Amino acid sequence: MSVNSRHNLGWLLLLLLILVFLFVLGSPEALEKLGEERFFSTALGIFGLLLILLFFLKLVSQPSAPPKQRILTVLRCERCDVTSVREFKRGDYIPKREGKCPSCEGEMYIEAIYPEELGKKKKPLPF
Amino acid sequence: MPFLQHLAGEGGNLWSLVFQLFFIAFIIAYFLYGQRIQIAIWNRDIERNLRRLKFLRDRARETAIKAVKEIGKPEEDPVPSIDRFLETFFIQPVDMDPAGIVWKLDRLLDVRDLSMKDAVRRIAPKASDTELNNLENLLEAALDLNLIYRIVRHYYLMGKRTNAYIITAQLHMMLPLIMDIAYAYDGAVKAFAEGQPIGDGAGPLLACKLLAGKKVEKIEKDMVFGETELEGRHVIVLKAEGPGGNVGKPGEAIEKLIDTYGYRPAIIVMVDAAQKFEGEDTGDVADGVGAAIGGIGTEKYRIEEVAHKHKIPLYAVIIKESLREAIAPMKKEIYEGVDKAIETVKKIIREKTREGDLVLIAGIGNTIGIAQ
Ligand SMILES: [Zn+2]
Repeated sequence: MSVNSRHNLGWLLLLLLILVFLFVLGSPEALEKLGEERFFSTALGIFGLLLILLFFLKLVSQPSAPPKQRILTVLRCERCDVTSVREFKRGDYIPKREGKCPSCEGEMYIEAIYPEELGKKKKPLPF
Repeated sequence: MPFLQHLAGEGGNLWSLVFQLFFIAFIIAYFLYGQRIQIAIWNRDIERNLRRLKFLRDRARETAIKAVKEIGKPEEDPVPSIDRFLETFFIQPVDMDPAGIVWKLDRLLDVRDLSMKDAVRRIAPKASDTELNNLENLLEAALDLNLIYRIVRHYYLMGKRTNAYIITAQLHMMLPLIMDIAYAYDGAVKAFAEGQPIGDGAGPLLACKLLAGKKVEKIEKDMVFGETELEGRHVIVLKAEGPGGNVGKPGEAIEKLIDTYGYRPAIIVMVDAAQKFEGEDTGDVADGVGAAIGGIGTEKYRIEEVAHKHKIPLYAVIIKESLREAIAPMKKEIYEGVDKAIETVKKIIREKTREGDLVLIAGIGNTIGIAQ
């Protein structure tokens, strides 16, 4: 989440800079002045400085913490293959017996406890 | 100002003069003080990470205090005892004359383990054995975070005080790796506080699956074993006693099974989580020859000794994961890896033994959150 928002902030700033630049270009006096070399190079210089500032801010900004993950507990029936998933509770362990199967009255046991997977599969390496 | 006007060039204004001066000053400053500027930037970077490390350490300490108060219900304030625990240390035996060092080290580790358990029991008198083991694991993770923080701070301050750039440079270059380890411990703290299985529990999980519904017996300190059938072979399965956080002493247990109980397995298969190389997939399974067990080496030594003494071949099956994954809550891929590892173990048994043979399978690792 916060990785993306920080990323977007950088692009937003860049976009803003370009907009300001275009706005200056848009005014008639500015267009007239643009013919003068000095104005153009000054504007380019300021643009460059802001760009450097932007990259510096990006460099200095802290890497954000990973997103919070829920821990899931998977229950499985001993007799049939019915499984159910719920959130982890303190005191859960593998293979703790807990409750009856809703379909066949068999006993349920905890088969696995793992962090919820948050989409995004890693790209396979090209080498 | 004709002179300045001249300096700024034909038709130059004050602004471009300022820019030029600034530029020249920058070049000179970088030329003369470049290294210092570099070191200052590195120091700032280290400071930022140090603050992060301090935060992680304090959070681990708070988690430990909260867990102790909740689970252990101590009558007096546990904070001073916990703070004392977080500063305890371990001194390795001298290795100039290494003969017999394994037994010395083994003894020292036993004493350390006992005194730690003892300390935790005093801090948290109302905790059950399972909770006690989990609390000990939690406090040890907090201790490690404290140690990382103290070491990084030490080298940072030393580099700054003595102006020894090489120390600052080395510290800065190592920092990403150090932070990776610190974040791994941070993940472990939560898993230990809640008693969730961690990646290192892959071996015990395999043992637990093989022993499903079978009777188990206690052997040695914190170790259990049970008997079952697999591919027509008689199998003894060994693991640390769960569901408290425990690695047990598999070396001593295997020694006892063979030397005291008189079992003569045709092969020993050890299953452990092992560090993968970067780029490899978590949960991949591989097999090989040798004693698959990490740690300081005393247990490995015992297993190799007893296997050598009785000429028992040692086979190893590993489930691959990163260091970070090994102490974080066990991932789904690792559960899938354990199922693959069971198939690999079966294949090894079919290939290396005959029907009716006795096979010893040891699931090595921390069994937190995994009973039997
Ligand atoms: Zn059922």
